Amino acid sequence: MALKIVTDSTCDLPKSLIAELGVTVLPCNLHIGDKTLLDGIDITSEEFYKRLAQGGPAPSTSQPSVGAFLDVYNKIGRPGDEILSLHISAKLSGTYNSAFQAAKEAQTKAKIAVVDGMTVSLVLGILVREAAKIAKQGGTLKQATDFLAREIPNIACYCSVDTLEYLVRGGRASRVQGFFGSLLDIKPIISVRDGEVHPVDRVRTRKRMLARLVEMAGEAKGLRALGVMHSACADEAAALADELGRHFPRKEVLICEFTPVMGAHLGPKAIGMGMWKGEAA
Amino acid sequence: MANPTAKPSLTQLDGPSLFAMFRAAMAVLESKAEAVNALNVYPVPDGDTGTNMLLTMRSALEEADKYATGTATEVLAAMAKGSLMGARGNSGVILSQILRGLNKSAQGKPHLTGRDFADGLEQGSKQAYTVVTNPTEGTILTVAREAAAAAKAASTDGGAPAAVLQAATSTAKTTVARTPFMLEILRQNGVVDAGGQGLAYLFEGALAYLQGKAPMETAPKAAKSAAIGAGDSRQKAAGSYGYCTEFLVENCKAATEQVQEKMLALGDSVIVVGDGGLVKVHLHTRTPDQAEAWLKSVATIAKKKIDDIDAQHTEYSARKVAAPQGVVGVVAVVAGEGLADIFRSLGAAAIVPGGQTMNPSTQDILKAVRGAKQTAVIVLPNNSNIIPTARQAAEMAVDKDVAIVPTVDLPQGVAAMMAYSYEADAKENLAAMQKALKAVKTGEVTTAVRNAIVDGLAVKRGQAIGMTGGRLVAATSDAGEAAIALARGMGVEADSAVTVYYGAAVSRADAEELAARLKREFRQAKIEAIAGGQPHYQYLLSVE
Repeated sequence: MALKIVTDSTCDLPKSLIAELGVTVLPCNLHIGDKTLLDGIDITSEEFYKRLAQGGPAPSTSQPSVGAFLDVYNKIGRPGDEILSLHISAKLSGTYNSAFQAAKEAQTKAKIAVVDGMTVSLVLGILVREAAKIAKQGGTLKQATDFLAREIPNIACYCSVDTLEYLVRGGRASRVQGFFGSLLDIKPIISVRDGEVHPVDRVRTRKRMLARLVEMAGEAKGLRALGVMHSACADEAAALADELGRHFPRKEVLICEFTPVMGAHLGPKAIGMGMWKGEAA
Repeated sequence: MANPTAKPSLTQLDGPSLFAMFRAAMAVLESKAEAVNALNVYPVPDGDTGTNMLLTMRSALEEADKYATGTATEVLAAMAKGSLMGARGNSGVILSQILRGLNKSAQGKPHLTGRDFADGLEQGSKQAYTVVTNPTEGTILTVAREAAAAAKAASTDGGAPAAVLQAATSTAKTTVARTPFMLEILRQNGVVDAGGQGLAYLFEGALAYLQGKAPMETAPKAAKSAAIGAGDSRQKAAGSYGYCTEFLVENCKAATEQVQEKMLALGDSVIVVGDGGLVKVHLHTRTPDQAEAWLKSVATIAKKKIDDIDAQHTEYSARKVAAPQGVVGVVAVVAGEGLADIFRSLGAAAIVPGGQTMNPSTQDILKAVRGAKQTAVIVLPNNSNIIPTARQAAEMAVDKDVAIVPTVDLPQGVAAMMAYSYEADAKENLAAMQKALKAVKTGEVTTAVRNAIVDGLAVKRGQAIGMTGGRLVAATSDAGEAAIALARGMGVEADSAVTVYYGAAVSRADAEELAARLKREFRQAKIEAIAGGQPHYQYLLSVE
């Protein structure tokens, strides 16, 4: 009898941590030309961003299939087990729907809860990690879902893209396009709030954008963890992480590169900052 | 008129119950029509499937209103006829086919059993497949078919209408959720099928009525139809979407197959349905007049509706890039078309033309403030001489909550606009916009109107002069030179963003040459040249 955690590749947790936590990660699909690649498995972030820089067909993405979820649920769910399937915001991806559908059809006797993480990337990753900790300590599905219900409102995710082009092409920019469709060259800062992309701020230079991300972290009430995400701009991400570390010396700052499926929607030189706020319960 | 509170029979549906059930179904669709519209992906991304289905239902109910106290046969015959007459769009036509199927199964029956209802749904869904040129799975067709199959299964052992509809409704919902797995375009757009969703809402409403949970909604309203006068010739070039064209023809001498074939030769998305000489035709075509002429040769045209899809598409595109309407409206006083566009692109609600030497009147500003949709308005005067006028307008606009961000020039105005958030309230916006002013320095290049000695520099009339912060820093024969000297005097730093707004009198080539020179001199800074189109000032420099 155990609580098992399933997530998807948009959680952006490093492979080593995933192995350590015993989390099952379903890869999303990346479509380049007529080829379908499994996110993070058939293609690494490094290869992907190199390819993106070289041009060629625009990549698109799709959620793991219902069948892929069925396989995982049926495989890992033993009688008496519980499965927490925690995923990228259902408003941004069909992953949650696939999981939800599969959970209904699964043959396993295990109890499955599919939860909309309402966020993306490392911020989802932080939730997955915390849920996995609950599982490691012998916690129940109920404890994990209670934890998520309490903490999902405490997460925040900001990101600046170098160009809106990728978000627009991927159909994720409808809310922000009007705000950022400027005649001036601006650096848009967006946030994922209530599971959706919202416009936050527009600044003129990358330096100002990075400073603004630090300011936003400073405005947060209570910080438990910080995350820095980037697409092919490791130096800037490291500098941002250092800066955050200086401002919040006792806080954990995680850093990662956006997985290709995220990169396909953000484009190169996107930089993100995620927060887990609030006080520990 | 049916008594809305009439308790439906548990085992059979009579005419009044059916009528009330359909009204309850429409009420749910009505409340969700906008949401359904938002799901549409083709051919106009921001489509009208919800509206089309709603208007089809309205038309059906209007017709049935006369028989509201009649038999099931009478109500359904009227629903079928009304929906065929009023069907709009693909989904509307398919919906009318489903009602037609129900009508067929109700022939000669005063009441409908669960079984009759299920049979009707099955017939209707089969019929629906035949009226679409390329039946596609993952659409309303699949939802109708699977819902009908579930209804059929639930009716086999004498299921009551409520049980049959329960089965149809829950299957419709799960099928809708599955549509993105069946149809790539839905998946790409991250939506479920709009028509299928609309049908599921209709089932939901009908079921709620049968379970005694449905609130009765408004009476059917008249369907709006934008008729186009005869004689307008329309033709569109290749590459255009053409016209969404619908005809209702009577006394049709041609067989529906023949009509279908002819319409297919003229366009796509062809749907031809009809009975006893009454035929409904839907197609997307670049030459609607040809379609009309041919139909006239075989039938009488009773109704037509021709919508320009490109216009809908353009309107959609324009709307898509338009800035969202904010909590607070911004009115900016701006000289120069280019700069006005920049303010609009950053979300200004209204532009009052004006600036140096052409100050707008209080009335001009007041009119723009009053014209703003928002109650809370922020005015950007963008010129020190205009600030008093703006204040006066603010005082006069008693019905509005007006604040001024005292911008003294256009670069300050742009900086304030950059900080504007459409989600924030007036207080938050005021604070952010005021703060943004401090981060920008402005330089101006203009032509000296007389000889003078200013700040120790001798200026000759006609010379290009560069000023910043009320200080003259350059007087030379060339505007570009003056701009370079100005930039040096303004302290451009490594991480500065320098924007050069070039005026109406400056060519783009000259402005780009200046930008290139600035880039060579300030390698680390970000330099951008933008057509401001302002009068008097050859260049406005903004250094952030």
